[in-house]
Amino acid sequence: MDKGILNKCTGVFSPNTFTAIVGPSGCGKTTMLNLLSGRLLSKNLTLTGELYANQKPTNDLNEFGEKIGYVMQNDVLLATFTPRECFMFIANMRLINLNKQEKHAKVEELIAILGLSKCADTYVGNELIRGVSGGEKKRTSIGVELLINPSILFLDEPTTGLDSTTALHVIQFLNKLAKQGRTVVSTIHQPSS
Amino acid sequence: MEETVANGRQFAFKPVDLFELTFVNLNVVAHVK
Repeated sequence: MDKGILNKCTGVFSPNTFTAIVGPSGCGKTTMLNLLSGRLLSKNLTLTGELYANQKPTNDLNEFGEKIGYVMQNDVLLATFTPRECFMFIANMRLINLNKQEKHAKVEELIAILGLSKCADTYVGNELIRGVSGGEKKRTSIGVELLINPSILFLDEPTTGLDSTTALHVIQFLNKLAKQGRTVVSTIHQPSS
Repeated sequence: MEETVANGRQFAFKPVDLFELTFVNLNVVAHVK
């Protein structure tokens, strides 16, 4: 039995813009995000349609892997790491062309940009370990992806679980990222927040 | 992101390239057994 998940989706995600994908639960927002970020891989799925990266046809978005950042809905961070340690860990894994000093400088700059200076040495935490706030955790997750300086940033429900003020700050920050040249695409469950 | 100077060195967090993604008539069909 075949089941249609996405049907004739057409659109453009442009640089310098923050695009929000809205819709009710189960309508395929996350599926679309996963598909367009090159993460939807399954033998049980058939994908058809046309994809263009900078107006050039492409079949495999994974070839743009270094240009694509993806922030998942759930913050996948080690609870016993601090934001600084998280960034340093990712810098060591992904910024292999930089030396130790350059990585440190980049991490410190990122902490300043994200406004995480006050909590940079606090555990990320979880249900059992007291740690940073929800907004700080989300900004840490975004920072992890920003370390590789992606041209296009996908975010799956970045405001879920945040209070309206914190959600507003996260969205304002994403807007700022978009205005500085990035293509920012996000699914949003509650546009009002 | 704004360019800042850290330790006397300039780090640019600006994207290297602008990236436009266009998709036309995308369909995803799941084959359920």
